Amino acid sequence: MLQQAPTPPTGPRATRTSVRTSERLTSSRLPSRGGIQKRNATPVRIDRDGDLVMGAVGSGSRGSGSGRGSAAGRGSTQGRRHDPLGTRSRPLKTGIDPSAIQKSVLRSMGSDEPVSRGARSSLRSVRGRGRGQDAREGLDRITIRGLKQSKAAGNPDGGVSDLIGFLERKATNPDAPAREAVKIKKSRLEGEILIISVRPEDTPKILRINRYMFAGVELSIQAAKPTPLENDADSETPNTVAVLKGVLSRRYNVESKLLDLSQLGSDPELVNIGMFSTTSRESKFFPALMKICDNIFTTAKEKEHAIASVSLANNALPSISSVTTLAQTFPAIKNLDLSNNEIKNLTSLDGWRWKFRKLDHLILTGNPIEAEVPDYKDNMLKWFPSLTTLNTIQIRSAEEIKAATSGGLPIPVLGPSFRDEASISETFVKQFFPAYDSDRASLVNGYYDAQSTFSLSINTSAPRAPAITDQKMPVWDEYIKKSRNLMKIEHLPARMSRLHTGTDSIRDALTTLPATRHPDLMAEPQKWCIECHTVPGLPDVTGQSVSGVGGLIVMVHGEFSEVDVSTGQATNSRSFDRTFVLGAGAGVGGIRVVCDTLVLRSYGGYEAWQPEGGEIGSSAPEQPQAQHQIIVPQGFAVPGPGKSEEQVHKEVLAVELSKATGMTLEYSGMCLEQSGWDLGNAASAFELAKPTLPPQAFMS
Amino acid sequence: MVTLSADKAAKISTEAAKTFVESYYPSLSTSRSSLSSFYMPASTMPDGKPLPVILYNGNIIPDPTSMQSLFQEQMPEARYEVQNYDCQVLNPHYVAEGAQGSDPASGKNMTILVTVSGYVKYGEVRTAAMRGFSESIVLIPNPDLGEGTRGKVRKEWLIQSQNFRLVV
Repeated sequence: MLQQAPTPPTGPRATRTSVRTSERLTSSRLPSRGGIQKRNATPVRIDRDGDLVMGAVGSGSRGSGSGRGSAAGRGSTQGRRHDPLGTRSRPLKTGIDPSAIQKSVLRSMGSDEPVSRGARSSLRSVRGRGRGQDAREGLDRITIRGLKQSKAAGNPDGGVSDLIGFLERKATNPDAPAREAVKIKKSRLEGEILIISVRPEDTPKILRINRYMFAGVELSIQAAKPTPLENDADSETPNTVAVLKGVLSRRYNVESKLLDLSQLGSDPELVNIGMFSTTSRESKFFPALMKICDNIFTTAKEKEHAIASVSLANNALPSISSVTTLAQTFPAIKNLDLSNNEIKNLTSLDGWRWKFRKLDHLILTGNPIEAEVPDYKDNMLKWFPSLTTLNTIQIRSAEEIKAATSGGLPIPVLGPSFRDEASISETFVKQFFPAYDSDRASLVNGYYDAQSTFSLSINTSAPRAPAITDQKMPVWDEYIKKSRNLMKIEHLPARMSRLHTGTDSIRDALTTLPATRHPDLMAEPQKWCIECHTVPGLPDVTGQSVSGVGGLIVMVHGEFSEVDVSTGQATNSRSFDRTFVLGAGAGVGGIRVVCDTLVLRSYGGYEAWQPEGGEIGSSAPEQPQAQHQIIVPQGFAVPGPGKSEEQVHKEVLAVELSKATGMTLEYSGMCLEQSGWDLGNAASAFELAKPTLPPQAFMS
Repeated sequence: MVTLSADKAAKISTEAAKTFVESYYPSLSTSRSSLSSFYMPASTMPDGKPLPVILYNGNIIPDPTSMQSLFQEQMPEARYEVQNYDCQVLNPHYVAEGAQGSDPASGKNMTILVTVSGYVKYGEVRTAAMRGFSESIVLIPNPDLGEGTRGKVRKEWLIQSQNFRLVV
């Protein structure tokens, strides 16, 4: 739960440390220079409607909260149908219908509609349940104000039981039989307001004691709206939505793609509208905020593009349960800062287990979990498959990530196994693909003969390149009628008609496929994986050898773009796997194509066959710098006689910082001292001070 | 010479491919101890190169026994899903050196090129990434067919060469 006004253990600086905003650092594993962002250096504007205007400078007016205090339970004269935003129910620049936002926000924020209550009910410890429930049970709700100012407020339960007893006594006619005594069925406290539920026949009796004196104050007693659909939410929510949008716009930095939700409890605007005044409002806050985000960024791609980093630092979170919706709204974030919260154990984080599949950097410094679950790092490694950095420490390399996603294959992915004979395969491939793009008819005449076979099959559901999300679904209309996927084509006549034998049939098949452009073999070798080896037992076209002749099997994996012939523009990208069997024959260079099988699938990239460890032909991106090798004196950073636990901890931190920065232990210690012994802060401080540090600050 | 008819060639080759695909890939998950039985006996090509040829992500695996122990002892749990396969007759009448060979019209002497496209999940199925793979296999008739021990079904077709690649 978000709690009001937490005191950050390491001071306000902690809120903006360490969320690394660049997607990948190449020079250092520490927060990059660009990673430390002043909040809202370029403020995002919101337009007149209170919507975020991405990347545009707006008028700057924003909806604001007007200090209504806790309005929960307050009566409203406005009915459900009154739509305060009705005048602008036209789509905005974002293409979003504001009234739809309004409805969805209403659902998740203000009203107690049963649909959204289930998930929250466990958060409630207050007596009684929501208003919707009351309505179904035929109870009336009544609000009572004044308890907080009364002398009873100092009693152990805040005076609630005293007030209830008082109300029941005063409302009950002393002469009536006991079965007619007024009974308060349920009650709960929302802020300063006590909300009670009574049988409808008792309502007038309770309302009658309005303005009675209770423990030194005059009570104000009013009937609450009779149905959950007409409660205070209508008058309340639009204001709240505007405030939340304002909060989002202030806390979102377009350039660094950072959504800074740190220290929410002391956000003046949120405090102003009483966002955290009651447990129930507080529990609705974060889901509502996420809902608004969902409506601003409508597609996964948009979200991923707009927000790479989220900070939830300094929120006194004992667990992530109140903010768990972050994982649904922003599943693809790369950096997440949870520093300086009160997360004690793994259970407190469990809601995000297996979520954030692209999370690269997680910060949990300043949480009790560090001390209470010393090996939590192991779990983080398991839970977040792309995590490379925990706090400021690199815990896994990019290679390991790759190995992990391939399941940790015991044998490495190697470059192509190209065991050619007399450059036959090489020559063939170099000639084949350019000719395939430019003149398929000649190609067929040059390499295929009456016995050659060709078939095409389409894997319509093949996995796609992991790096490319939100790809549009490929359409296979121009291919599918020729596809000989034997999983799907089961009747013999169809299997036969989709196998092309002889030059005429093959020419017809190939020349009616869409025009293509393959990447240049020489210029972009990484986009190709070409392997070959010899095979025995091919049919001898001369008929001399019964046991057959030798040949080559050539397996090519690659990609091509389809080309719009009229414009010459490349359109769809597709991946292919093509296997040729080449034998001796009468074609170009004494070669004939015995078999040609072509498999097409959705674009799958070329990362999969890049050799591990950067062999020849590797296009592996620059690897992040490893940790510095440091020499740690004996006895340093380990417990010893006369050494306090705190001292050991400090030494451990110094070692970590030295490993990350290459500084000497002495300088690391100084840097940490100045940074309040917070590793994240120290790392940031180091980055800033780096250019001015003397050479002796570093280990040689 | 009586030759193999086109429809018979298509029927036998596609059925052989189907049988192979439906038995080989499940074995990679559940009966790795039977893997070596999918391969032709160790032999050499006329030029002395070893057969069968086994390639796995660019690694040359020396023989079926090594392939089997690689899977049995080192490979993580894996689940293969074949999404697409196709085949072509490579040689309609292949007779191994010194062998008798069946009637050419029977289709029992053909060699078949099988191409498979699908995905594999290594490790825990629930969380593992889908890795696309492409595999090309040459099947040859089992020379020992019919001489098998009683009650034990021999595979009709065996792997002569195989090349597996993760492609996504």
